[in-house]
Amino acid sequence: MFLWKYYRPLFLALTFGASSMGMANTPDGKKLYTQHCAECHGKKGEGVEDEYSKPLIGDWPVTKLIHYVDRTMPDYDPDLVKGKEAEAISRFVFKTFYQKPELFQKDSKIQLARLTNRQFRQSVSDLFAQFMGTPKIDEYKAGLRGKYYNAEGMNKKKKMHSERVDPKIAFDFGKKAPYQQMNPKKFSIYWEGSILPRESGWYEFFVKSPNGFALRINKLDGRPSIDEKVTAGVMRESGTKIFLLGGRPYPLRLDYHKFDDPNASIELSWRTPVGQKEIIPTEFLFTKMVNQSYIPQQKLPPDDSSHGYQRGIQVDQSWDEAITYAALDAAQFAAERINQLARTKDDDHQRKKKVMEIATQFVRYAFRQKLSEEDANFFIKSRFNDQTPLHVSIEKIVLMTLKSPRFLYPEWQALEKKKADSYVVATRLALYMWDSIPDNHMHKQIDVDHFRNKGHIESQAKRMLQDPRSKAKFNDFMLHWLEMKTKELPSKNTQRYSNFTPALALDLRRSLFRGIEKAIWEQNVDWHNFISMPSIQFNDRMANYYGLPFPTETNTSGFIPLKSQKMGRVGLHTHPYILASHSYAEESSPIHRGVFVSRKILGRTLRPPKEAVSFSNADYDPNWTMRQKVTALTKPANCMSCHDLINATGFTLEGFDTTGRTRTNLGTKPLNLATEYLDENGNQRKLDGAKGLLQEALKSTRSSKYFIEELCKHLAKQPIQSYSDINFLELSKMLSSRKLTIKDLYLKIAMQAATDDFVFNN
Amino acid sequence: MNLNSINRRTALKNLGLSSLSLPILSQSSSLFSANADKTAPKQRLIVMFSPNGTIPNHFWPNTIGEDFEHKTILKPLEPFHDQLLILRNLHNKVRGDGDNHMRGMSCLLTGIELFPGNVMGGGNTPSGWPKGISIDREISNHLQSQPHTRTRFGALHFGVGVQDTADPWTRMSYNGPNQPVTPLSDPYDAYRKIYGNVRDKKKVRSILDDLKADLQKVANRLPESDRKLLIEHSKLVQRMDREYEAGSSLSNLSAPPPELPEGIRNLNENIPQLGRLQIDLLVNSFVNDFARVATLQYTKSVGQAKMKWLDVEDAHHTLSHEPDKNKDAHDKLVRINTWFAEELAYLLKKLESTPEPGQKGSMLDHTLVIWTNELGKGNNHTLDHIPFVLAGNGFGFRMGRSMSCENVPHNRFLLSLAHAVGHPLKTFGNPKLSAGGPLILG
Repeated sequence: MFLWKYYRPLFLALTFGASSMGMANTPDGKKLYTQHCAECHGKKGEGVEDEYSKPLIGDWPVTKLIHYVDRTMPDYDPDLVKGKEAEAISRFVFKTFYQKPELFQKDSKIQLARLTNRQFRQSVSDLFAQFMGTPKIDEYKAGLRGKYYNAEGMNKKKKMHSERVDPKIAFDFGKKAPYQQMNPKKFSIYWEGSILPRESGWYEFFVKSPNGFALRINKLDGRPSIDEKVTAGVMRESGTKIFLLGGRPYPLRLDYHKFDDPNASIELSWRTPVGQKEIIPTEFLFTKMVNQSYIPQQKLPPDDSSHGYQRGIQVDQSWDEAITYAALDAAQFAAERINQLARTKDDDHQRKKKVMEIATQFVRYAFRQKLSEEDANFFIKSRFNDQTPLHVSIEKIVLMTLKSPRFLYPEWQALEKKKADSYVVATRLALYMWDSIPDNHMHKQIDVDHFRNKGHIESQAKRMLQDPRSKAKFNDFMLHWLEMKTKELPSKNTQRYSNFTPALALDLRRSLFRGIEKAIWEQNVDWHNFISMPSIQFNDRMANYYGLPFPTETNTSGFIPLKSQKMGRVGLHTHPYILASHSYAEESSPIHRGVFVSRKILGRTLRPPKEAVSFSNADYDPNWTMRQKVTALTKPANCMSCHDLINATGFTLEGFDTTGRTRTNLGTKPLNLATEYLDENGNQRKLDGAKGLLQEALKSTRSSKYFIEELCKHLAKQPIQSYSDINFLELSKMLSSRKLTIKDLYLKIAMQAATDDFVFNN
Repeated sequence: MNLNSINRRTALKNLGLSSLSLPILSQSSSLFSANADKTAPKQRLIVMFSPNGTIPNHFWPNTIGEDFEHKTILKPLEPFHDQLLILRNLHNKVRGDGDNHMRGMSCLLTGIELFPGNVMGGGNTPSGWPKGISIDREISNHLQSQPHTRTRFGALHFGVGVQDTADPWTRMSYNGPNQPVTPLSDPYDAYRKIYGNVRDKKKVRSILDDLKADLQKVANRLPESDRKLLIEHSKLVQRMDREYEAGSSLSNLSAPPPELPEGIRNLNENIPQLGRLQIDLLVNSFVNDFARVATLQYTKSVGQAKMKWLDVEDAHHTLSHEPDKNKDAHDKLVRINTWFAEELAYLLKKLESTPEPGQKGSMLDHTLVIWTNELGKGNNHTLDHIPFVLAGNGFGFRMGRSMSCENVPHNRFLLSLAHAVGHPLKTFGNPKLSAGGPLILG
């Protein structure tokens, strides 16, 4: 066994050394550290700019640290520190700061930060929703409602022939009508319903037809999103691009007319932010048509994500300009729809009063606070006068409000007040759970002074958890945690894996995301079930590729859960998407898989390599397994400091090929999936394949702790040490001992972070 | 008849003009010779459209020639008598698919049939878009192809009260087969297209002082250690203020953009104001030489504007269907068409009072304005006797008269427009309807 061989002499030496050495002979670790290490690592391990700038912390057991120091340190002359001295230094480092990251935390309080892009878009959209109505699907019937009409002359709706639900829009009627009794020459179809995308981002919609059509996406008035009502006598396809926030429904309408054209056909497709064009699948379409909503379309420069989560710690010119244009657009939108927003009309003698009222509400929601007399004057009343048309006043108010620091820096009140009050708690709950502003309901609770009592606040948080925005935010976290945001769809060598199509890759991604969403929000799973992933969502294309029997009848989405174990899979890390996206185009990649499972499933810390070495398949004997090749590649001591962990975990997944299919042999050679794994406490453990890896993860609190920290950062977008009321150890114990579901964890973190430093009124 | 063999005298004879008009004709032909000069006079074209036919007996002068009278509808144009050319007996003879409104509109400037399609009108067969380019775009393309006549946009298309629909009733300009050009129907959109985001910047600037105060106030209320980001933000606001104050490339313009009043909504009742704003923008874009061609489209064919400002509560198209004997409807339609003439007069006055930058004379001396309509008469939907009122001296036509075109297809008129800008096409639109070549208007 490669690793075992590697470490055995060291362990023998250590055992021997400890028993034979008296205290008097023990070298002084502190002194030696100062002498050999402090120059690059700092006097207290804090790091030195331009040398080793990061604090000297990690999760290696002390044995590994000793070995590493012995072999590689100091890096200008590794022979300088050997044996007992290496051990003394390592033990000093280990005891004094190596395991105490809190010593190096600089950001230990909540910082003033601007809204992130996601928070900005969500907040502006919800601000308008307070007046336009929150789009909500209460009847989850999949597909679009289609009304089929006979047409005559100018009257395209001469007589309705039929109404039905169409699971997707992809029809080729040829020379016929959709129904036998209809006139095949002249007919029209009106589809309507909603579309509910899972992810936020830029979506492109396409309609393809030789006939007349008009598409509306989240745009029920004015010019249609695509207007091709006039035919050109030839097949054509038109597209439109729109930014959509995930987890929210948008109204969709497609009008279709055939009039004497020789053929009739129509297709409605999209390209999601992941980038694969396809007929819009049924699972995203719903028959109920919701209200239109306002979504800022302005492109915004990316947020800082240097700490692994997006935060608004920088303002610059491009951000300022982008926000200004987004605010202008919102202001124009408000001005154009002033009557709708204020529920009034031009000849209403109460119009001005109503408009002023909604203006006041708008500013209050945006600033997350009741306005003082002075502020109401400044932001609202002073903008109205007899010479200015009402919609011009509204335009200015919206522009000013969305550019005001009171809107853009949601934590400013907390920092001003020093002591959190109800508004601060409400603001934080909405920000942490939804990335948005407190809703009308919360403002009402504050008005009646209910937002002080723990029970009341908790029940508000529970209500908020049920809101689709919580799910949307959790989904956004999942995309980040699973590294799906930055990863392109896996693609494989088209000759060797010709059936691994882009469409299949998209199915895999959808299967993973869909499975997680169902597990967390419908089955209410705990951590154990979450990473064990007892079932995987399959559709027929996936089943076909992975050689599984698949029922002919499925639900409308086309996906059904199949037992993971029955297909030789165990754990999140054996989902075919994870395996295929952590692989090369032709071969599996134990390194990529190892890094992923070490971090995400085992919660281990890995630093980026000092020196990047690329893997080239051609350099090795083609008869070797990937395990042999990677072992050879990572043999140097410098590599092994991390690759012992990466290889030990990555090799357990060699039972799956580059596309995630199970395998037991490579050619005629049986695969060896067993490895030796050194855990964070210095215990040597045998891992037997993917299952062994999962068992190891479930035994350790480290993986759940890492998950909690990541989730917390993502929710609050502040350094986690800022929240003194969050007990990470306690939470990770609860999580790993199955006393907490993931959904409850979400609630607990949000609740604890939002009420940090808040004195409840009982 | 061979186009090239036609001489002026034959043409005059064919057109029924008396030899009396000859001296004046030769005078105006001096403009042609000027064209050949290196400093050729600029030539501009504006097509103004109003819908649903006219009321012929209150529109057409009885007299052919220079002494034509101005009946009610053309009365507002009387001050421009010497710069007018009224083309009588000119017909849109394009047939084929589409109802008369559709062909009236979409073949008006294209002179070519519509594709078969799915848009069903009030009669005949359904249709699609026209099969060819419109004359305004053809001329613009020609001017854009030469360095000395090339401008930033070539052509600009303004709309007034045009609905958000795209069909053959709503478009008159086309870039080619199946290529409708959408007019800018909101002056604020037009402004943005021509001058960029100047107005937006102004709007933003109007709140920047308040924003600075607000930032200061919020920063003051925070502990000093938390102010860093707000101080940076304040600097950005200062920067934006300075930058937006300086404006942009606007300082290079021959004429600053017109002041647009804030907040005129794109609504039916604002059509008069919206129209004037569009005219102001149009003329300003010409002064800055951003374009040599423009269209100005009031509503659309079958347009249903309710002209309350004329005490007309009825929808225009519905009204146009009323029989002649309905005196009330008749009177209202006369009022409506007269109002369009007043708007044209406003445009002409504006052009006349604007000197052509860098050249002699007024902008009207360098522009040809065509006021037209998709129908000859509303309640019979005729495509015969399409109203064509020409104004301005930009194309070297002999103005100050009414002229009979002897019932020829209007394609020949479209051809003469191309010829007048030095683009001697043999045919335009349907070649058969172009037979006989350009009308001689000079």
